[in-house]
Amino acid sequence: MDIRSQIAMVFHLDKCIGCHTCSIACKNIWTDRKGAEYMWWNNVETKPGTGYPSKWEDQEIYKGGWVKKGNSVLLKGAGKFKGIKGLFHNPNMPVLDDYYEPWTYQYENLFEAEEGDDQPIARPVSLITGEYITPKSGPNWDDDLAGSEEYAKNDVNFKNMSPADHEAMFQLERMSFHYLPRMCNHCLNPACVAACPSGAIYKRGEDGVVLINQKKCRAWRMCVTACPYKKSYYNWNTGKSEKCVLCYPRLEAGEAPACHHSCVGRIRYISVMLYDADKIEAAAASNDDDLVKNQLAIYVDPFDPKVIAAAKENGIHESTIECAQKSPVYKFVKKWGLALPLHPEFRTLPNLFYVPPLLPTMSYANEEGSYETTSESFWGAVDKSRLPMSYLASLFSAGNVDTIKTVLKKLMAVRLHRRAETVGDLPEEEATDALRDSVMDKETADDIFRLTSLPLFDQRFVIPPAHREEAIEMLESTADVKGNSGFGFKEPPVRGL
Amino acid sequence: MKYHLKKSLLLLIGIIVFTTSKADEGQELFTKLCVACHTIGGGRLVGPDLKDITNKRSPEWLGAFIQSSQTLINSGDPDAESIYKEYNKLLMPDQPLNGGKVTAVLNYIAAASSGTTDNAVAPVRVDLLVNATTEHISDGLLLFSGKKRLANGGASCISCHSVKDDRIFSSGTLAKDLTLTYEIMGSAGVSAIISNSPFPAMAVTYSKNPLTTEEVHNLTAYLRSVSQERYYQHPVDFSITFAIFGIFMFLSIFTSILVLYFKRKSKSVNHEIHQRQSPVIN
Repeated sequence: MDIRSQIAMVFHLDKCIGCHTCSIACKNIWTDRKGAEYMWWNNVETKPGTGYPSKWEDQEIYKGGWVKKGNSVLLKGAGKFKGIKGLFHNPNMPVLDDYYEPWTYQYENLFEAEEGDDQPIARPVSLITGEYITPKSGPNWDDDLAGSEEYAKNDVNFKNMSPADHEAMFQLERMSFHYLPRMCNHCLNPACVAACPSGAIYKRGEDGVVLINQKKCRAWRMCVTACPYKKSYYNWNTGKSEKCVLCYPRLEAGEAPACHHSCVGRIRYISVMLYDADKIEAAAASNDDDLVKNQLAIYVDPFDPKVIAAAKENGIHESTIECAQKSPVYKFVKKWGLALPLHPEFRTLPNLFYVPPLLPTMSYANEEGSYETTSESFWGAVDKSRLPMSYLASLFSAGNVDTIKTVLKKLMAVRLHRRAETVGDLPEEEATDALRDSVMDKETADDIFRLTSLPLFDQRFVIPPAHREEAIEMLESTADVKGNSGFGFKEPPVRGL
Repeated sequence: MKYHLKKSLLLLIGIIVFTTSKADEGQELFTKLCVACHTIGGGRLVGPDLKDITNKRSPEWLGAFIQSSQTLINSGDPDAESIYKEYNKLLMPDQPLNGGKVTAVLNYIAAASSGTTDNAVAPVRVDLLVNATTEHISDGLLLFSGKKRLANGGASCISCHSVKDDRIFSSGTLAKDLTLTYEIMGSAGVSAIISNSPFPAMAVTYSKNPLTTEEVHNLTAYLRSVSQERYYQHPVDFSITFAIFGIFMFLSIFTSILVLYFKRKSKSVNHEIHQRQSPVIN
């Protein structure tokens, strides 16, 4: 048992309103620089849709992530022979048009244009070439199903779906979408770290944040292709790759990352989880159907005395263990089993978990093709959910429909229970049956409801203290510094000693 | 009167000095530039015997031919063309002589032909290599092939010239093959051309880096041995091999590029969508 601590996150997709506030908060802090204009360390996608960069989920195009080989995993796009073959050109790299060409508008023209017959306009200007351009696409070009014929219909997750199901999803009556905020998953088995030839990317020991050492980066851009989530970006101005740093300066000060802090829908939860590093390889190499189950088995119970002892032996601080015990992430992921990793089939063991959207159907097209608004139950059955189970399974459980169904039934049970509690217009049996089906007692259902709908700030963000004072003590004697700080002079005083 | 006398005297002296020096200059130029290929009354060498040439051709024609025989031949002059054909289509090198110097040379030839000048003993072919040994020849080989540097830093012969010699593997293709040169020109001709070349390119090359007398001698000796030994030399011709090897290497590099770039993702996945969008109007 090799217990380590990892900062992990949960995004509750039922609460996401797709406002992009998280993206803007991140952009203002981190990527509002030359060479980083096109980067969105945090972005919000509409699903179904091709996302940003386009079709990032299709690893036959970008060759990211890992593939299972025997009892272990190999990088899909790297390796000894492939590495030499692609040494000089990295064949699967996304090009700028896969992201988009960043642009701004020539605003000053609105004020400074000479008087003429026409209204002055602010023409779009490329932020890369400085020339006038006509924007061809943007980071959320397909927002809210815009251009769905071009984008949503080409969603990579339809690959394993029958043409009939595919067609049915785009019928007006069934049409639906949900948002998918994405950021670096700070994976347990990060492909970017494994692919970096310079050894510039590392996973921080104390909290598992994955960072790129800007001094060591040599612009190989292997991380850009290797990351299956395409969350490592190449800065064309500095010649270095960059990625989400999980606002580690904020984390070390005990604050939530900017995207979490600014979230309007309060969908984001962040905290620490304890995991057993010995199980990583076996979990990453499990069969598709067991991927989620085996990944969740890596995270251990922070109340188990054996775990606590092993954690302390590994130098994990008491306060970190306490945070792990209060962790909302642990509750969503392990205790309640409501949150699932995004695309576990990439085998990177991501630490960002999503509570899938329920998207219940209130009406649907019946067999005669007419519009059916009545349903036997209040929210309709999970099976009749507007998004086909196979679609959600493709996103969150490597195609395992049962895993998705279990989670959605639990979410539905909580809703039915709360409806029965607060409004009382449902038959008693309907709520209790649902709870029984999901093997859930009323207290758990209430806890889920509380942490979902009424969480306090400190319940959403349980961030372990970084204990910088201990880090400083390792570098210098604090007794030497004591008495040396405080008031000083820029110019020495004339009087005095 | 006295003034006029003085003036006439000065003029007379001037004319005498001028004409005699002219004759001297003509002889000097002839020895320097012409003697490698021409004689006056000594018979044919590489070029024709020039005895009485001034009676046969007009000074203008001769001047034009000396300054640029090629231009004259190309202009379609029948006499020039027939000479060119008669002498194995070997072009006479262009001589860097202005009108005055041409006249001086022609004057000298006329004088030498009629035997009025004391110095006008027609140059005869002399063998400069009477004392040449095998050491000189092997030294000449080293100098020719560039294995030994020329004392004044000039370029080795092999940079431009080739010879038929098994010991020399790969040689220059910019200038003439020198295997038969000795046969045509003799030792005097060869050493004259090496030491003081009439060919513009060669003259420029060695103007700042002249060869030493010893080097000239050894190279001449080497060229003689090349000419004599040519029937026993069977140099391997690599040109076809090189061509095949070159094509092979080109194809292998080309295919390796194709292999390396196979399945390269070169355009955006949205390329088709972007192509269909209306063109940029700016």
